[in-house]
Amino acid sequence: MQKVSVRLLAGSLAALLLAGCGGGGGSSSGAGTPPPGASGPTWTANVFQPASTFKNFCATVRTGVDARGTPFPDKAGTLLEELFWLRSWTQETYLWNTEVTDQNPASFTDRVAYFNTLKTPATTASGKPKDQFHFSQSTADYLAQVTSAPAASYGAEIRVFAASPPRDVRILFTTEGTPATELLAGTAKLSRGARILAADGVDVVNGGTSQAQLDTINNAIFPKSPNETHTLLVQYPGGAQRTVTLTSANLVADPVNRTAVLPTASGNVGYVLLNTFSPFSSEKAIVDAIAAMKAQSVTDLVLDLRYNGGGLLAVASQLSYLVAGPAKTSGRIFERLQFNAAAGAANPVTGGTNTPTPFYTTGLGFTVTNGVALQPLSLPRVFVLTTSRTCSASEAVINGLRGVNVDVVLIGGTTCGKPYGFYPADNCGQTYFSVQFKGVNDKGFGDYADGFAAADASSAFPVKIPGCSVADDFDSELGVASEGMLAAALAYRASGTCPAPSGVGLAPASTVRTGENAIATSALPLAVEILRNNRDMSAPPSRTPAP
Amino acid sequence: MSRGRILSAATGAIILAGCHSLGGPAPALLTSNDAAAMARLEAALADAMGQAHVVLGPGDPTQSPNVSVLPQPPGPLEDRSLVLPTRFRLEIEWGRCFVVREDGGVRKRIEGVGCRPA
Repeated sequence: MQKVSVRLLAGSLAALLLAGCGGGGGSSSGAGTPPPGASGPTWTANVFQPASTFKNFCATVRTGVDARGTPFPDKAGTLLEELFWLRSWTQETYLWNTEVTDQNPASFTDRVAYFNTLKTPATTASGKPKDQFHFSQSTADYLAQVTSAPAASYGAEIRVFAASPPRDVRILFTTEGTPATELLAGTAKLSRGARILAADGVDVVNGGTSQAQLDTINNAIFPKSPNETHTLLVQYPGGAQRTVTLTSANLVADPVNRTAVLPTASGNVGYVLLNTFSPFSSEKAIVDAIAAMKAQSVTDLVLDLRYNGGGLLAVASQLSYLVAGPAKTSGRIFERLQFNAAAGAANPVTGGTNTPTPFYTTGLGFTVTNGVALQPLSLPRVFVLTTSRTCSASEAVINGLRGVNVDVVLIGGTTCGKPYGFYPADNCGQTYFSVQFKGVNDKGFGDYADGFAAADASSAFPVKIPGCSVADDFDSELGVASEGMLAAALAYRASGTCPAPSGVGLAPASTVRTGENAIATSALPLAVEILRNNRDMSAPPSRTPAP
Repeated sequence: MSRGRILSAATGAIILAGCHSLGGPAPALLTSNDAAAMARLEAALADAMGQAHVVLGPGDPTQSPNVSVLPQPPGPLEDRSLVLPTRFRLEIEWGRCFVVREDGGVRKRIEGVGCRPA
């Protein structure tokens, strides 16, 4: 079965994180810094005033109300006070506050440049930066994104695998009932794995030699508004080519893109493609999908989280309860937050008690009525399909279920490795995202900064769990038994072994290049423009640079 | 059964029933979910939240005493968001309707809307 759903394309990203600063750092707090006065605060190394001393004292004061009708809290202040707020707020709430070098804010003339130094320079075991998630954006942009209306799209998730010639731009998946799945000569105009060769007559693969051509390409592939009509030359898996005409529409996210029930000799296997936990609609979408699985008496479940970058932790908890059921989760913790050492038992951001997230057993009121009992599958194991885009709240599902002894079988690639989170904080028109907590499961485990991987993965750094390393199969439709990762899950279920050959190093038949790094490092204008427009590029570890 | 005992039992039953609608607080349902009633409910919830306005979660307050107020949605980069709806319950006391915040006990009267015991 397929559900009509459209992935709400998320905000654009880039990866221009500034290098962290080295060494030491302060851990004390006290009254060594005078409160802001006529001459402003002064710096004493490793002595911090409460962040509240400087909060909302702004160089530029906003007046009136924001997009949500809330009056701005700004008071007349200085850039220096904004910097001192950042310094104290980091000291109070940053997870790795003792690894930040305390520099004199007066040495900086830009708040974002200063903020970008307020993070750890440490690396993970694999050598990647421990904090890849430090960023900020204007509060106006942030609020515009959280309150945004449906976005113009064809109903296809488009990924740029290579941003420099020869460029490789392909369809990851489509949504039924959208322009992408309109039939042309009996087949959908766009389908998974299809490669876009030309856009409005411009060669996407090797063209784009002028800004005008680049604009044409981007405007055609990523329409900015509804009712735009463009033509694309598309090559489908298997090699056939044709030109299709598409008209964009305003489309709304549906987190569950599709579900299926696959009959086997040993019982029905459920399949759910869940692409995000972010919109409130994810609560009802998941409850409905699991209800459909329960109605068909599935004995195993395959959760396809390969493109799920996370979202609402509470909904991830609900999903985990729906999988595991009450016997394994009653009285247990889905995720406990660990803040910096100075926080003790408190949540240093809210000031309240650090209350863990339980396995929620009822609707929470996002889109399922508060208090309505959830109907779990109560399975002893679950298969999870993963890639590097499986991130954060999705990884929390894996970790949370392992914490209560549900057997999680991982099929696919290494997950992104983000056990961390933050509370966005506005100060004077800039919203800052600074890692403030790590999530750990009922067993107290949360050390997966290099991700989760299948037991047969070649890298030594991820947390290895049972399963098979399998490449994403762009030549097969999602949710069909022959698709590479789903096929591997079914084979592992049947035999307990991984199908040969396996390994994420294998390229699919279409020889797709992994392109996120190429995009991030490409000097081509196209790369920048794609990052601005391709709201599909939201998966960490690449993060938005501070503007 | 003597007339006195019958009268006494009846009086007790009336008093017990009254406790739900006229006495101590009890779970309640609104008697209407039309636009005016919902606007008054939202006004009480906004007052309880200290906000200019609120967005209600799912549910019908004429069918369930559980009401939720939606938080600000997470942004596209908030991949481990801790936001939750704020949960309220509807209560009736002395024939008047209230919203009660479940996590803190803040209680606000809903003006101009009828309610009945759940």
